[in-house]
Amino acid sequence: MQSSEDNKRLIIYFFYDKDGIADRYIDYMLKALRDISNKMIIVSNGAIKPATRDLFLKYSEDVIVRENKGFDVGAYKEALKYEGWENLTRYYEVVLVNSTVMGPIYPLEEMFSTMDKKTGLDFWGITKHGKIDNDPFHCNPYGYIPEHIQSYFMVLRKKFLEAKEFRKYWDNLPQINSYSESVGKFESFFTKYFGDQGFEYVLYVNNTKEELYTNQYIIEAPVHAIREDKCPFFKKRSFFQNQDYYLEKTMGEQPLELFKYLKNNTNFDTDMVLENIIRTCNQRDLVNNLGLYYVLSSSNLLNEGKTFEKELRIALIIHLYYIDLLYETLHYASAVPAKADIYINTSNEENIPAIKRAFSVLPNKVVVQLVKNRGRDVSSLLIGGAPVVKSYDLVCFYHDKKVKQLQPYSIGRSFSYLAAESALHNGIYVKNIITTFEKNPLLGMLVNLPPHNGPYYDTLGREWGPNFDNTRRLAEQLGLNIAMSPDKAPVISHGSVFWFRTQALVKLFEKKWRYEDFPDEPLASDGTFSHAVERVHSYVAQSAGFYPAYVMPDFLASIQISDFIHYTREFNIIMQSKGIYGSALAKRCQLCQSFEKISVTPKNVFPAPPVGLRRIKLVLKGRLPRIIYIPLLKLKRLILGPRNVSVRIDT
Amino acid sequence: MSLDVKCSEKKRLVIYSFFDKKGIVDRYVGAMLQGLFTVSDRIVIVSNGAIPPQSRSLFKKYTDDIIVRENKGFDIWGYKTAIDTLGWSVLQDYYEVVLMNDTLMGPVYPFEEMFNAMNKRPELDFWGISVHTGISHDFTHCNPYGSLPEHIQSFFMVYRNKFLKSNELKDYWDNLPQLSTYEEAIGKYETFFTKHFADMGFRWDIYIKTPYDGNFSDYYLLKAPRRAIEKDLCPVFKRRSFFHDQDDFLFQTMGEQSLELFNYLRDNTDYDTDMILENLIRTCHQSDFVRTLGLYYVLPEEYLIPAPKTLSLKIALVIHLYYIDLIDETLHCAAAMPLDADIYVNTPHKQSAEKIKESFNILPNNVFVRVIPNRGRDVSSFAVGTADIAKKYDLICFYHDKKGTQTKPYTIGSSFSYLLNKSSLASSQYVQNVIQTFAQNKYLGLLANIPPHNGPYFPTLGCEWGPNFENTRQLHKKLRLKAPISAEKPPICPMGTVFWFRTEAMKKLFDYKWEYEDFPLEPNGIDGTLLHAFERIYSYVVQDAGFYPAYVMPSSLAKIQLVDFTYYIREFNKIFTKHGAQNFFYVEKQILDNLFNSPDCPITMRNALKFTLKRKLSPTVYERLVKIKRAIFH
Repeated sequence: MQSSEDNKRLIIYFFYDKDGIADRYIDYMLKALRDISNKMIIVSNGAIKPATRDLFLKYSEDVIVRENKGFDVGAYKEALKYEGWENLTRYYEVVLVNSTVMGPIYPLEEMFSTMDKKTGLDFWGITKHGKIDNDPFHCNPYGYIPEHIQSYFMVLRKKFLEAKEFRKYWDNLPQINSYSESVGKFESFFTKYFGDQGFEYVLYVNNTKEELYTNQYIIEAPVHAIREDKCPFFKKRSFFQNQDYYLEKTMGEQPLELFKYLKNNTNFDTDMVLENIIRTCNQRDLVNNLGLYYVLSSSNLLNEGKTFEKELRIALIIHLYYIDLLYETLHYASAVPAKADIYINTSNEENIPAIKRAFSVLPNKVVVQLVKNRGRDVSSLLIGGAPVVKSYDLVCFYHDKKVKQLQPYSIGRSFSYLAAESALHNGIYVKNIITTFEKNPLLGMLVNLPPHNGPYYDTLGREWGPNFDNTRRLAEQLGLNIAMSPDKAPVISHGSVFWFRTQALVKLFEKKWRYEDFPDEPLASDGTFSHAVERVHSYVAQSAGFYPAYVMPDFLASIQISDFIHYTREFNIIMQSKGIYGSALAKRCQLCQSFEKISVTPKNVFPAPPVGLRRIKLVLKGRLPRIIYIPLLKLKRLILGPRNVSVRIDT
Repeated sequence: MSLDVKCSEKKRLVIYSFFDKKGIVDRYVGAMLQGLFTVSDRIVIVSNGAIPPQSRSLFKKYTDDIIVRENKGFDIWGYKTAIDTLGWSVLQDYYEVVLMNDTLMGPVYPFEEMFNAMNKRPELDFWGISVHTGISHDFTHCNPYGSLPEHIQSFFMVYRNKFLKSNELKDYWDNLPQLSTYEEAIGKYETFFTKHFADMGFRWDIYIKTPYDGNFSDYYLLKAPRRAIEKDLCPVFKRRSFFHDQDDFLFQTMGEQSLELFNYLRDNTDYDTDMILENLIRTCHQSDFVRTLGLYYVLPEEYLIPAPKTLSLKIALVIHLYYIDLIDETLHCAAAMPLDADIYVNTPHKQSAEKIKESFNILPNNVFVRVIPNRGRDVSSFAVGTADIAKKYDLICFYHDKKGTQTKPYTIGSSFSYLLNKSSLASSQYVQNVIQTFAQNKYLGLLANIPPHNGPYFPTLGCEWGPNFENTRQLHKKLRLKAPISAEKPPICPMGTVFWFRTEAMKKLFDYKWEYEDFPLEPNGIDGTLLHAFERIYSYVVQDAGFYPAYVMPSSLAKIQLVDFTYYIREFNKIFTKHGAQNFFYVEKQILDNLFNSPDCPITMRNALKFTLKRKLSPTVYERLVKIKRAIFH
């Protein structure tokens, strides 16, 4: 930017990344900032990687790497001191900007030249946060959160920099030890504090649409802010915001709409967004914010007329255990295109001729191989599949499923229906899955929705079960550095039927697994190594830079939506019949409070079984080692039959 | 071959028990009687309740033996009446007597197959098509065994000659107890009969065995009807498939069973599935078939679905334009309409008509801007301002601009408009797909958005009626609609009054000749008014005309819904799990109920007060109080 002496601009860019990695979006941002400034100081809270340093040095020699202390405000203070109060006043504008925003979408010249016309200002920002009557952070001296300029981007003008009040503020700023303090003492305090003293400030982006008056315009209506009010940035937070926050104020459509808008209507490379959030965010937030549920047609092709540069090499790997389900397995296998190769792993040598005969009707290359009967479908893929996966780009893993521990069997059959239909409904659907992988190069795996019928209902919310710790251990073993939390559900393939890009799971296959790594039969029903492996898949994909997602054929989406609305409605009806209205969040709070006061468990609801079998079972399960408990359970089932969950009758 | 000859000698009598609230015989009953006609020598039809002449003449095609009796004692006393009328000596002339009722639909395969197969089992005394595997807890409290043992399902049972000649059977029917409740019918007859006679040494069996030695399901025919038909060649299916209790379905299945059945029948058999739809539309609650048939159309918005039918439908968009400042947004939505569609803009603002004309001029369509009285909002704009042009078109999309300024922050209402706009006019491809969906489903009458559920709209789910059941029922009566309506079952209504409909299906409403003066002057209440009754009546008008209403959304919206709903459920479940109360859905429901029934339950004073006031006060008084509260506290 051409600038005379009195039009100089200093940028203080605050950078923070847990791992000290600067993704492409930082590069893009720094480049844009350099173009409108004369000097840039980059401050990082916490160590940075050499590649990050190289990147920073491309744009500035003034790189400060400091201890991760004091949050953004601590970093700004250090940078201001680094430049020195005297030097600062030589600038026309000092810009404080941090790495929580992405952009720019429009050239920054537009914004700065507009703001240059407003000469009487002391400071300005892009967007504001509205007033909140109480102070959730308990740190703001005003006792509430006043309306304030959001601190991700704040510009301080020369006469403000010269004011002694400004210096006094920074000199008196106490040590900031928490996020709450940073908000209370800096972000939410700064604007009113100086505004009240007569300093003038404005916003670049003023919400022009009355219907969208909201506390955080940039989060709650980012597309409108960009399109109508020319906001040059959007918040990274848009893509990992808490779902309750969205659902209290919107239908949850904002992040998805933002992403679509960026992709279709701007030059901003949305892969930069994905790369960063895949690396740093919890996958559940990704799925929720980007709506990663692919609903694919079972009746017409997505890619009609379009061809992709490189044709993907595709394989179907089947773990075939139940020979009586052979024809069902064959039916689903016939959905893969003729050019795909089919590998069938079986642990029973006697079945091989029958399998070969049955599969000979398919035009595909079919390979039947013998695997050891230890570790079931999990080892079948990791050991049996390992030698072949690297020859393919895309693999569908399928295994036949029979749930015999639950009666009636239709419960388990519906589960296998869900898993199989979501992966291999028919030829057109499978082609659409392949196209989806082609069109989304960062898509790593596609899984079915969790089952929710009968005893599976609590799967939603109990995805981890007792498997969080073992999964995390496994993730550490595999050297994954990825966000995992017991509070956020993993995107797992319930039923172990899923599609994956081999590149995404390379880390899993590279490890030399042995059958002895897997638990022997009889397999405990939960908490084993195999259960951890099931849950680690999506994290392996994510750490390789790919995102996991759900997939289903269109008719299944209709059924699921119908089911989910039913569940939600029924809960609402009960609570509303007791006078508890309000949003989902409000109802959950009420439910929590009630649970804490009253202990209502299934035992209160159902009278205990006559001989207290259920109680005995619980006690035994708690006291006995698994190795004794499981055979006992099997013995019981052998004598008394499978678990018969009480059934209602209707004619 | 000799077997076949013997077969034809074997005389068969069918006693068919019929019940319809209005005595109307739908096509599916005709198809069933036709199927029975070919395998029987005589059919006796017992109708519980009067039948109109046209029903009688339909029955006459198959038999002259029509017994019309009072609707008492269920199908069972219908059988008894037939048995008593014919007399045991007549019955004993037959090799087989079939007792069956109209809850079965079919046949999917010729009945010969089944009867031939069963003829190979001469040792049997009685047989049926399917069993219920029984349940240990006797919920009817009247089964003499104290439990509900495994039993042949009574909708189809066949007595063989030697059984007919037994004194035990005669005794049973002669001494049949009075059955006044549904529980008694199950406890004393259906679940009792099989074991009662089996214990006396009579042999019985069924044609369709429940897979895995009966372990597959308690009620195979209902829980996996497609499998029963496809794999076990079951010739019939239950009408109940399309309105059975959802919790019971979701206990065993993923909710897919009925849609799988319907699609299989439509795509792989000769059975005319229109017969199912006709009956459901005439007799069932709309919310029941919407959930069982998954009538949530998820349509692509970026490409066209295959179009086997060339479109010759005449289409219009009718816009009720109230907010002049939303004109660009409205125009943007209208631009999704195909070029040959006509666009009508109704607006109460006379002074803005020119401006609207100018703005809409950029569209290639024929645009008609009409000034209407400012009375009755979007509703009169529909009932009066659309009625006059409706008959020129096959399909109409009714749209009105919406500003949700009742709730703060306004993003809440804005998300509601997003839902409406996306569900009706997401893109031009989407609109084509909507039109194609109407073309391919001749019984589809109305497509609505799903209800909003964000923030304060969340209670809408489960509270679809709000204070509007009574006024909707009045309107239902006024329009002389016949579609079933119940306060317990939600309407499939287009919340927000933006929807697509087939004009033929809306005829009754338009023919009523509404005037603007029929609608109340402003200010209008925020709930419980005639306007709100209208919002909920559309789907009933459609159903009354023989069409079904359904939900629709573009696939991007389906993604958001899946996120939202899995989120709601997951978060609820997490709380249950945290307190060790995670369980099946219907158990969690009971827990929830118990929890809030407990006297210790900390329901907030605010909630309790609000609830009591809402229940005790008249809607107008309550509404005023709410307004005062809002004025004070915002």
